[in-house]
Amino acid sequence: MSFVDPRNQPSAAFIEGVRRRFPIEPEMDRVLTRKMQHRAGPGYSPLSLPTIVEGLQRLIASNIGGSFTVSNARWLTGGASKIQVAFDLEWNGAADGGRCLTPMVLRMEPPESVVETSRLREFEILKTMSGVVPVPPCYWVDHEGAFLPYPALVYGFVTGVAKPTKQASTQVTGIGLNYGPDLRVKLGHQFLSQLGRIHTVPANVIGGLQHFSPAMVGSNEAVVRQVNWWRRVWEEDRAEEEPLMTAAGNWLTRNAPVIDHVSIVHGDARGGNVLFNEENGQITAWLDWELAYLGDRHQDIAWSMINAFRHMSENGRDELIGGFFPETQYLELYEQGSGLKIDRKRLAYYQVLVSFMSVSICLGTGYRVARNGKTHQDVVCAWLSMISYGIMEQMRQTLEEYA
Amino acid sequence: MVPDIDLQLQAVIKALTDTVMPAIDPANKMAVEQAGLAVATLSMARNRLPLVRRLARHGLQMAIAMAEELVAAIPTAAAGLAAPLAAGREALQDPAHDTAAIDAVQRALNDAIGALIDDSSNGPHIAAIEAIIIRRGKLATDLGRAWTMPSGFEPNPASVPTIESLLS
Repeated sequence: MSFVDPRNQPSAAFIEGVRRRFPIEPEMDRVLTRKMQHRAGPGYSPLSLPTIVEGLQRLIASNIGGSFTVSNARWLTGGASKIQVAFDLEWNGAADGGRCLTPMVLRMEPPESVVETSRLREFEILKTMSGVVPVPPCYWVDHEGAFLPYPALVYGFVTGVAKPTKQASTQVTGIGLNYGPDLRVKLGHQFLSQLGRIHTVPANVIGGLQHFSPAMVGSNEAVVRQVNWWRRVWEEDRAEEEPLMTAAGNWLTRNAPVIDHVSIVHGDARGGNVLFNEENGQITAWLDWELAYLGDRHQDIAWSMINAFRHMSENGRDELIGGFFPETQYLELYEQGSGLKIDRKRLAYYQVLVSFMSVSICLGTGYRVARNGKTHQDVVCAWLSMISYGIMEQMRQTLEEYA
Repeated sequence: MVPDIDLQLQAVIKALTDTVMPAIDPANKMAVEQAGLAVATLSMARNRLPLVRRLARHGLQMAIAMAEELVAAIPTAAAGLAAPLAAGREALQDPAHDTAAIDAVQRALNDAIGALIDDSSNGPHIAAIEAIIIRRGKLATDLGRAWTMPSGFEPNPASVPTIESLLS
């Protein structure tokens, strides 16, 4: 029996069928539909820095007047999702319009990313969060890849580290992060209080977001859309049927809870996605906003509580959630900082949802992009897929307890 | 046959470790990380290669057991599951089925189980179906965790049976 994978060269009927089955936000529909329409196209071929700088110069020229110079372009590592290049821009960008040298980062998609998202949304949310929590200043976006080989955005380079420099890398993409006893307390307090600030951005600010569909208190419509987003990704990308994932997806749709407070949800809130100053222990930037949407704060809390982001304390007594605090303290600190309550039953629902998301990304999309050679980090994506079974077991246990 | 696959993998891993990796520019962090993962991936593949056929047969056995329980418990299940279930049993009994063929039969059976879940999602049997899938899902997650244990992602390795014990 030979097997022809319908997901490698999807027909128009396949693409349309999945779209109809899982309705999602219009901007995300645009992005995922584009992904499927390009699926049968070429994989990733190594790009040279001069090629990227050339596109970058075209993007900058289309946005600013006056002369400018791009220099010191260099690859950045970290993460498997996007291609990143740091560079310096000499331009008339000073507050008084004078000449200055600004370090910046280009963040560009590969042909198909392990997390397929919208640069328009990422650009808009970074602009919105400026002044709420530390984020890089955001400059320009090329959302269709008109100037660069693929869609991209440019933001300011922020100093800081994602993990203590003395800690050897043991895993990919910041998993297995251990800050050590002193730093974890300093960073943990800031992480939770700033997460509270993200979740309490005023309604009038949220209402101004152009590329995000609104969520409403007393409705579960935004939650169902979020479930549909990840059911759609799983359906489009998976290597094979996993009955547990299908059962979980159906359960999530049937049991979507209503929202009691509309929040900006970061979507990938965890220690590895904040930069900090190693000298004073201050958070310098929240990164990776590509999964942000308008929804329920419990999703971010549940995401940060995934088993893979935990570890035991030095004395072996406490399991540290997110690498920060024991669970009770972790949730209490969040509640104190945000003024918002954590509902344990709703948290359990979101623990199933974030596990489903994570497996869809790692086991579903991670498989697909590596199989089709679509990224600059295929070997990382294939390796990362192996994290999925432990997360699937966490999802299964939560379902067993609450379903 | 010389060279066998194990020898080829062993030689490639040694070449990468002894000669290629030390020659990589340490400032090229992506190259350093990808080279390390390449060696780790090849080492894991070498370790798992002798178990691939047993894994395929075990995976099919688990899918068959799940389908049989669904057919016994859910009145509507037999209509979609009977044919792929029969094909699954036949594949296990026929030594001519190679690993790819066994995988294909398992895939078809799991597709049928998935269709049963979707078709029943608003019906009277969904709770019973989900209970079976969730309980039996433990066997699948145990197998996946055991198979991928060399990745180092497992936070509690002692809680997972060894792959050899699961496939014995």
